[in-house]
Amino acid sequence: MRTRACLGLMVVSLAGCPSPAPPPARPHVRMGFMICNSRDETLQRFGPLAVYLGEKLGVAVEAVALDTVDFTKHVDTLDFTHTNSLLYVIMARLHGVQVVAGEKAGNQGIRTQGAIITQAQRPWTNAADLRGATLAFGPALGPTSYMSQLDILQKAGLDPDTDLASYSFPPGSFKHEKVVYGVLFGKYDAGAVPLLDLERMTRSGRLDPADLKVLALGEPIPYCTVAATQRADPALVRQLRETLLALGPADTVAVDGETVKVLSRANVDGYQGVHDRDYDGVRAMAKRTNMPPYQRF
Amino acid sequence: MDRLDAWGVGVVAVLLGSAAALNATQPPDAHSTTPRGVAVLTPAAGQGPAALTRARHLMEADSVTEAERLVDGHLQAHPDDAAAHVLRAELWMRRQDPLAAVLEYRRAVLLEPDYLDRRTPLYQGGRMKTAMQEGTDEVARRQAAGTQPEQLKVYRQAIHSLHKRLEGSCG
Repeated sequence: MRTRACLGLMVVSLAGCPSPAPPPARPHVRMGFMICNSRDETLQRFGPLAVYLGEKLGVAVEAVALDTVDFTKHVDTLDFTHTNSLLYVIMARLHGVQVVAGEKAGNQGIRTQGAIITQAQRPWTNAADLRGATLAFGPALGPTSYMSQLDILQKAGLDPDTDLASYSFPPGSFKHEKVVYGVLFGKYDAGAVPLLDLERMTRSGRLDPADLKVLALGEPIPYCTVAATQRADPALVRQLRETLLALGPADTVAVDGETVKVLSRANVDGYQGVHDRDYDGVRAMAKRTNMPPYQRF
Repeated sequence: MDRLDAWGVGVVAVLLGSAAALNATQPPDAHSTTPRGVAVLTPAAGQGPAALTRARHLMEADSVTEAERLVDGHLQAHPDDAAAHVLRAELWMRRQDPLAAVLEYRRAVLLEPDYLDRRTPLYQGGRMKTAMQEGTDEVARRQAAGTQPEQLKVYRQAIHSLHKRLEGSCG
């Protein structure tokens, strides 16, 4: 009886010991990534960056891929954003977003230019020669796939609605590449594409620059941009900026069992400090072309 | 059962009773993940009056005139709906009228001070600052163009009032 009581006491004592407390959950933040070419491609490129940032900032970063046309509807549910510069300008004006860093890629660092391209053998030499031609634009909220080229045409005295034979937007994903191939294979007389995409396609061997001609270039403007929404913790915003600026080509993160170079996977060269005024060129262009956030209805 | 057995049974009973009492008074798991508050911005999350939800949807789709009609109708019936004033301010910004937006933001803040509190999901300081900055520029432009200062006083007062409440704290 004595033994049973002692054993029972031991069992009860052991059962009463609390299990080790689970580690405290990390704060959760949401980072919206504007879809560049497709949802899968965007998450594949920037998912590791989100994981890396989470580790450095001590938070759980949820990467959310959002279409350009839907992005502003979701901005209030996000802490950080990664978008093109026009979307940044829209969100800065209408949604209280503040810039964190510019993304470096290609020959012009954080900037690129909108280009109008044609087949190399066409006789045209400038944008004004496109009167009566067909033209394909990229995404409508792209600063260098639509807005910049609209600016070029207007400066050349062309109204796309009356002076082109027609203009169109390729459907679905990978619009920039569809525009390039569409021009290359004669579906469109001319195409609107970011210079950065031409650089990338040339570098990867998907494009022989001798097959195309750049008819006109828009002003260099910042391109991909990281920003913070008005709900983001200011201390975390500062940490994010420091982390991005310090991110180098050798930095890696473990994702799905493999070690990934963050910048290489994202297909970017790094991040650079920027000021809101660096986007005044984008704003001026948006005003000239009646684009959001300065669109007059 | 001897004395030691009795002591053992008694200790077991005390332990069981203590465990039961502790469980009954234990607060919720302190380590559970509490989802971050989603910024409830007017009826963006589908909450609030149907008219405002619809108006926001129209605004996002660039149907600004239709959105304005809905919001103005709602405000006639509910002049003290702070969320409606915020939405009206956003519509004014899309109309490139930051001064009208500032007046709406001020009205909204008087009705719901949490729009200025960064610690709440209602915080709208970022949007307001943009409207205030553009409003300040517009006041300067109008004054330079010859508008009498008295006619601009209401806008200056609204901008200064918001500025004071947004930035006036010590911390």
